[in-house]
Amino acid sequence: MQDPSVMPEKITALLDSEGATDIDISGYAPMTGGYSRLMARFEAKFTIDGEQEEGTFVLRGDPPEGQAIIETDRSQEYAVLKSVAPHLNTPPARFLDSKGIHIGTPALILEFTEAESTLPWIEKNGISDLPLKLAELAGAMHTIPVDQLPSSLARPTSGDPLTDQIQMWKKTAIDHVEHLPIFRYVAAWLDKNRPPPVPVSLVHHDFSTANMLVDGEGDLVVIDFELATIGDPREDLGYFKAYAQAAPPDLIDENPDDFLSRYREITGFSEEQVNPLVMTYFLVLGVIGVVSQIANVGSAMAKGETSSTNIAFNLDNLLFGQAAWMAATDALEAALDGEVN
Amino acid sequence: MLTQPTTDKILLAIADDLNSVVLPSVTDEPAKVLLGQIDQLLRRLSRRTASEIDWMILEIKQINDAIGRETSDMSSYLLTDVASAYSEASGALGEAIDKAFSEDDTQQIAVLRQLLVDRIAKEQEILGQLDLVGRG
Repeated sequence: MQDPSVMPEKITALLDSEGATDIDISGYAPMTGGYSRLMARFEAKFTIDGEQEEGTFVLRGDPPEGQAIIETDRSQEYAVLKSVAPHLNTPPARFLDSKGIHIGTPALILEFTEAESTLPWIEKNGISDLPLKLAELAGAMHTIPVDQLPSSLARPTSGDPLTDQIQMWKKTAIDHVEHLPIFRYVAAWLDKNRPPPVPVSLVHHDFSTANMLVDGEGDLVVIDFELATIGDPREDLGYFKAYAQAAPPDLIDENPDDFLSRYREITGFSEEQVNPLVMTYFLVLGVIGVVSQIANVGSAMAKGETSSTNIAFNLDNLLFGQAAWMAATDALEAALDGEVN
Repeated sequence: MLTQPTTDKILLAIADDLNSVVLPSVTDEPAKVLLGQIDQLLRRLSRRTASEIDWMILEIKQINDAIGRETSDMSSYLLTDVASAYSEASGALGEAIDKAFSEDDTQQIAVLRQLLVDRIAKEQEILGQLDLVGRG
């Protein structure tokens, strides 16, 4: 996917297999910013279903075998993108090469959006009304009817998303190439301090400014649903806060009361179900999906099964995370003991 | 063998050269991201390699003291052997954490938690500044 001399021909083959004609691909260039997948943008002209189209597109595909820091399924990502498109501001998915027959690796093609990455946008324009728009985006995502989502999406195997996530903390600690006592502590602590449940919904699982853009109207665009599952929606709020600690600002912290009030208004959740303490609980719980993937591939590298700078670099995120999780449990202990309001 | 400059100093010199000589001449964006990651990794490895064996040996003893185990002398100071002993002690610490929570033993939980807090302080020393280069 990194070779601009061969990719136009491969993309042409994929579009041709989907019934497109008069195909002209140009300007193929690899992009940065893809955390776990290879990405490139290109210009395309083609005719499909009798309509002539011309525009910029993004190819998003799996890295070569053994180099992925996270293993996910392009077919499922494509299905999720199709199902959320009517509800969310997200670039439409257009074509899928599920087995990599044409592209050489499983890949999908999305429409390119001119929207700007969130953090550079904030540097130029300030926070503006993004916190409320974030609440509305999260609310919209978490109220998509579950029966409209792909049946292939993972659902809580125990029937309770919190139990599943806590179990994943324990499993990650046990399966890793070396013992992880901080993970064991976090799992035990999460189990002891469960908040009241809410109905399950779509969970993005990498809900962060890294996966959001700001469009010309100042609205948030959400991308990258490769880790999505059905689970506890508050995991996304916690993950957002966790990621913001490594890459500020935390839009939720700008005005937590306003954010939570708007989010509760949209979702119908109660103040007992969603409040600052519950969000801090999920700051810890909600990261395990990504964390377990990073730990697993780190184990594979330690065993000599794979190797890359990116894997080693991402393992360092766990060092940052461990400090953040323990600090969060500490803050919550104090709050639950009535030491702080 | 030549031990000077020590490994940590050489890693730091490589990172500095990559940053000041190689990086400015690179125009390819993915390659720049990779160099940014390599720079951070080399600086962390420099800090880690200077102290990690000493830190692990010290922490093994602290864990054993906290959970009531004898600490035996290390039979080898090879990195892989010390790391293996450290992992074994970490596993015992994990078991003790589970037991303390299941028995709601708040005093022991606090003792074990402090071990983790001390571990995190060292990890932060290794980590330094985290820059999520290449993300959004």
